[in-house]
Amino acid sequence: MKADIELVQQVKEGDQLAYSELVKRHQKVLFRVVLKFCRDMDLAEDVLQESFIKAYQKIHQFEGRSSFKSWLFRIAINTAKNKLRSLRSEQVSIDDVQVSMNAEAESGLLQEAVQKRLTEEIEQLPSKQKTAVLLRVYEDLSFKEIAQIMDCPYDTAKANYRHGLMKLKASMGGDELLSNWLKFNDEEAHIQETNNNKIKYDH
Amino acid sequence: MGHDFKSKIANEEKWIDYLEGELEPSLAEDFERMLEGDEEAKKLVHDYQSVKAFMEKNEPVFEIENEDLFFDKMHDKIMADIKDTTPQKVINPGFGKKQVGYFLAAIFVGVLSLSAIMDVVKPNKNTNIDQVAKLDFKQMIKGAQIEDLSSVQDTVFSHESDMDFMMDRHEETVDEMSKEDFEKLMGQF
Repeated sequence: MKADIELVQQVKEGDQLAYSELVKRHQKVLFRVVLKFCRDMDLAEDVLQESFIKAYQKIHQFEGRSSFKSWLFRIAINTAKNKLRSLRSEQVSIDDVQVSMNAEAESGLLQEAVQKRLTEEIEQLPSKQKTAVLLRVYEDLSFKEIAQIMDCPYDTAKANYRHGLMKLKASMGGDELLSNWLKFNDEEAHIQETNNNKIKYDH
Repeated sequence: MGHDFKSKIANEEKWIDYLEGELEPSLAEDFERMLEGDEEAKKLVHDYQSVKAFMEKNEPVFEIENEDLFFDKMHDKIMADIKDTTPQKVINPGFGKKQVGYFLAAIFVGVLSLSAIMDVVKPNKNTNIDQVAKLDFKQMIKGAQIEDLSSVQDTVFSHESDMDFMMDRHEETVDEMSKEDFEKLMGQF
């Protein structure tokens, strides 16, 4: 399997089939990320299509300083933000957006309530903080990758993540919904598991 | 209070770094030790872990029916658009009118800054008078062949030491005296 950078080189030389391979390779993960920003299937489809076309048009500007995937993420997230900004005047309410949940999430009213609350809190974060939090928590990207996608220094990406998480903790930390959810789901074990998985220090 | 708030924020930021595996291993060990005996830090870490666990467990899942078909169609749509699209060539930025304008503006700002600096550096007129008067005084002392300035001080102020003289003059040396003080001093000769 050819590396992205080789395929990009072929695209620069006029090979559209190489671009077809890049689209196949990245469309699923990109669609998932875009959906998290847009929370609307049709809008996400538009954003994905537009992003791949923009990336193709600007392919000569890609110099390989970041990975092609990070570069695509950056284009897609910026496109999603612009689309949302232009739609904001129409005031699409979160309640109106149809999001299908997995079976586990649909299991209880509490789950629904916390999901809605979480969505609202994430939506209220400033754009950069929201981007950093979503990419870190849901996509498990490194701060280096997040910095490349956000086109900002490493420390800025980290600061945006920190501030976003601090705001979420401040707004949800003392929340009754969250503590009920923790009790109901016996999440202590999960937190411990998260702790073990996430804090990786080689002493 | 502001300081407390800042240090609280800085403290929380450090703990987030710890949770994200962003600390140097030796520092992380210190944090782990700190965590063992600090209930407040334990709660803080637990709260952040709860929020993250909460987010991870409640990640929105978007179910797509016939996912493979959906993405095949999506790919075909994108490639259909690509077929009629030409990548933009990277144009090397030339030295056009805009750049000439910026260049001239930069020179103008540079000249203005330089003149401002020169104005600041230029000696103040009053200072000049002080300096000239002090030089004259020094010349006069030399002319009178007084080699030791302390003997002049003794004559004029009858101070026991240079230190007393300085204290009396509000810690001013002769060179630092104002014009008025200097003239008073001159008047006593």
